[in-house]
Amino acid sequence: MKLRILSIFFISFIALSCSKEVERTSLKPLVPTSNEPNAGNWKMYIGQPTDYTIPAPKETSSAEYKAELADAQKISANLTAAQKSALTYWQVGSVSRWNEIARELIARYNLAPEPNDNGTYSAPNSAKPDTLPYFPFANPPYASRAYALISVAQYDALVATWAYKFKYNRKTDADNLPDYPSEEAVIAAASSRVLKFLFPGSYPTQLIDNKYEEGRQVGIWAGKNVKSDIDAADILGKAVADKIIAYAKADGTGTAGGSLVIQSQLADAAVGRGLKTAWKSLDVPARPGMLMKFGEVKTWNFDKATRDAIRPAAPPALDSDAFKKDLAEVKHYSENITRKQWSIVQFWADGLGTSTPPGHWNQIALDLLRDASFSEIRMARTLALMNTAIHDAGVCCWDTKYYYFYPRPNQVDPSIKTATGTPNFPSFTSGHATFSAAAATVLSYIFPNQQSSLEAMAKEASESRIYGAIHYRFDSEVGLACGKKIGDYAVARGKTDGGN
Amino acid sequence: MMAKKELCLVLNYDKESWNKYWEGDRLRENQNIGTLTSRSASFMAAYGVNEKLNVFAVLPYIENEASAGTMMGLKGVQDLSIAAKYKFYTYKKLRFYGVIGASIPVTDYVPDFLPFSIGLHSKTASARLIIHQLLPYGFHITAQGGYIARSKTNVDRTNYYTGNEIEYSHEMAVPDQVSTSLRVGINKKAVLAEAFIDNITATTGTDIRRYDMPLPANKMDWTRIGLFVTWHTPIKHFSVNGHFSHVVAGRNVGKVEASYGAQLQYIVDFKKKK
Repeated sequence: MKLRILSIFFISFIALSCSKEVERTSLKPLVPTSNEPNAGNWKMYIGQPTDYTIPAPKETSSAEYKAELADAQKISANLTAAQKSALTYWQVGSVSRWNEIARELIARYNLAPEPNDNGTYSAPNSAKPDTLPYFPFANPPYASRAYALISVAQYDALVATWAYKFKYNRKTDADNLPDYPSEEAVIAAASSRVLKFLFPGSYPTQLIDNKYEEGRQVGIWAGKNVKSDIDAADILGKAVADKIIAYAKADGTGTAGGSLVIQSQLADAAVGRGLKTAWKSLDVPARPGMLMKFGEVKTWNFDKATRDAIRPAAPPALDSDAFKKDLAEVKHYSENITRKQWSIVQFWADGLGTSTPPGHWNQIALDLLRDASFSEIRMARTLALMNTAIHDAGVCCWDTKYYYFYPRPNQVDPSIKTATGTPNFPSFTSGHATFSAAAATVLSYIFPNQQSSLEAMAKEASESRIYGAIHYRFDSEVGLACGKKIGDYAVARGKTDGGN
Repeated sequence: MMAKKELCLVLNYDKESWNKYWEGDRLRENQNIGTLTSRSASFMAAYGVNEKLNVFAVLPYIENEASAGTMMGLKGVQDLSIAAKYKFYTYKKLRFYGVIGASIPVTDYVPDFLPFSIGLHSKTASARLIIHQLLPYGFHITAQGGYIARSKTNVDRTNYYTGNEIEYSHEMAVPDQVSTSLRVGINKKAVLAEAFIDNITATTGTDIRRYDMPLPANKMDWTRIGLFVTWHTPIKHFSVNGHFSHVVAGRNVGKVEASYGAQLQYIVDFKKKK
């Protein structure tokens, strides 16, 4: 009996200490359902394929090509263990993996700057990214812009790639997709260049360079590309990235941080329009509102006049019955949150130290895209449509937040304690609701049979913020409605971009 | 050690707080937490199966809250711990004990809301060696060393950043712990007093990143010193205890300047009276 107890104990002891491996889903290699022969005609976001030139490739009958082919075949027949492992990693899909790399860097840099000893806060400086506070502070609006830039760069680069693939039509093997230029190498070149612009620090630069060196070789390792396919792809990917970066430098993000003076002006304007109590920071020490001018950043799928037109009407007055009702609901959750509601709050929180709500929707999108085995270019198109919509949602939501300057529930009633961090920006409308509805609308267009599931997820994401006691129900409901309108603009583009 | 067929029932109360914590090895304040206070009320039982074997059980109720900031405190019944202690060797005044133990969460509390979470919601199994030397005039010295294996915990998100990469999982690896302790004490008829130094060192784990929230996957280490005094009152079978401790060093934990506690102990004797 003693021996049995002892042996049960030791088995469980060993089991507990040995099983540190957390459960992960494993990903399968991408085998696209279509080679998308028409994708070279799809509409790019900036310019067209002929804006970029690559050298004309040598014929497959040429001596130069045959020499390259021999070299490439030698490499692919003698892969090292490290190369084989890298190949398995990249074969899940280049658009997919670069999206993950982007999300990893966003998570790493999604930490708020610490206060200075005198209670002020310094802004991250892109010229000194490795000096505290590190550049960038990859918060949700910054992240939404980052994902959009990367996705647009990937998509535009791939449209140009497809145009040239089918123009030159050089191929060696039975695969129907022409080789020149290599799509994996284009994605590596374009993604890495944009990512280095977004994350100029030394750790990201090192990480990105390593991933670039690996990611561009995939075609050779897999036995489907030769060196000139990679070199041409490099020229093309970098050129597209440079155009996207030039766009980004002028998109208004540089001045989106605002200042305490601007913050006062915005608060005064809202009070002038009838607001009884302006939002104030609940951080200790008080922190300037996050990216108070992000509402001025350029949008992808509509213009500023439209941004103003779709801005929601004013939230309830702070002494109205409608307000009191929704405040009471928040107070109720803060005092009676169930275990199930806690799990919803935590599932959707995507706060500091994570890849943000936009990042969460990128994960949802990739799961659907991988299951559907979309080609790299169709994946890129989906992500570009979704992420430009999410970015536009960020712009509209932040425009709305600082226009109305509405206080959070726990500012109005400090007895309300929260189940998640209180974000440092005004309440109306909810970023989670706006981002989620925009994303769900675009993904429902791409995957119509997932519509009810996606809409349910967006709704749950928006409600998680009520359970967490940091938003009123009207913040979430109005946010969902606005996000849907924003998503519809991206869908309208999708219906006419040639990839429908 | 409990004598044969003696059951000791204990009500224990502890209160401790910190206003500085280690973020990795960096000791810092956070004005959005202020002072974190943790109170616990536990029920404990120890039973002497025979002269060599004791069994134990502990069940705590814990309440954590912050003096500043906007986040809610958490409270609840935490984990049930059981243990068996066996005196396997005696040599003159030297005694050797082996202890095996296990613990299991009893309620569905939230583990991923540190520093407010009342526990990490992990199952544990542990083994310890105790060497106890009786000294003249009622003094004794005790050295202990043990290993605590801890299971993964489930969190409600599907991924988290470890400091090096994003882990795409709803599980977090809770590090195992090595536990060591040195005690010096005196055991007179009515009073048992001990001074101790305890250390817990996690075998793996990540550091809290700058101005980030802690995670169950963090490497949490601490060294505590303290005093433990039990007085066997004139009331038959009834004892009271007071204890105090202080965290001198740590990693990814709060620096508790003062932890106070008290116990009421009652012994039930099951031996048949002649």
